[in-house]
Amino acid sequence: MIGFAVVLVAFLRSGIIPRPAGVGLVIAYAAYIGYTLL
Amino acid sequence: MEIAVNALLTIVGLVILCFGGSWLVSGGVAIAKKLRISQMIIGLTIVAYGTSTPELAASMAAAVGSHTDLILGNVVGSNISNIGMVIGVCAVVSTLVVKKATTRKEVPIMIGVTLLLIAMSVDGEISQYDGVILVAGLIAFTAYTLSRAKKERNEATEDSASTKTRVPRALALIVVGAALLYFGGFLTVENAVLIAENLGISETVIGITIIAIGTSLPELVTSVIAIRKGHTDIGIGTIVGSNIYNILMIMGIS
Repeated sequence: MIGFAVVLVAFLRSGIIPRPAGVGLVIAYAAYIGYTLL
Repeated sequence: MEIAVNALLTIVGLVILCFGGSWLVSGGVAIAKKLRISQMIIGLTIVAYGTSTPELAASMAAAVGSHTDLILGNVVGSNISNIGMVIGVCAVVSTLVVKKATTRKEVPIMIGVTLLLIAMSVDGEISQYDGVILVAGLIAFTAYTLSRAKKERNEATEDSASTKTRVPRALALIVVGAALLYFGGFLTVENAVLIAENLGISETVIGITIIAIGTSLPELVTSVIAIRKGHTDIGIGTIVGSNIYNILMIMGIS
């Protein structure tokens, strides 16, 4: 949870969350769900 | 046949979610204009409260049934999906340009309450004493946002006050929108669970995937709609506000 929050802070401080970053977040979330299921 | 009915009801639930999200955003924007406060404040308060109702309902049900592990799992899972899934999908839909000033105070608060929850969980339980601290934090955060709204209102120009907004209509949009989000989310999750059960998927997998993602659907739909309408601050405010309320309100009350 802290990891995701820190990533969000980094993006928000830069003032922009570009599309590739969005794709990265979705992949990271999918990986988290996959890891939890395993 | 049963699966087809459940699939149809899941789609109906998603459509209701879309209407609810759209109306909640429209009502929130109208109120922000009328009260001369920023869309970020509306996102942090009215919209965040509205989209957090499914998490609150699920956690209250878990608390009544003494499934206290589920409450922590629900809050942590929802906060992670709010950032990973909701912010991620929103950024995929459209590049998010965020005003630095709008998140200068709220985001550190979000990090602070997250660290507070972790510190409270170190001893293996969230006690009633911890709950009182979290509720006190909720009251303090609400007071802070209200004082910020009051300050913004005083600083607003007279021009912005001249917008013609019908307050009863805006309030009705917010109330009906939040109710539709709750009902749509409930319908979607209930039927998705039934489909998964019919397909023989385990309860654990259902809990981690459908419930965790399902209770974040209102935030997802509302934020995507807000961002597509050009109200990025409401979208970001909803996520930051929801994460703060999930910890302070839901953990505190439950």
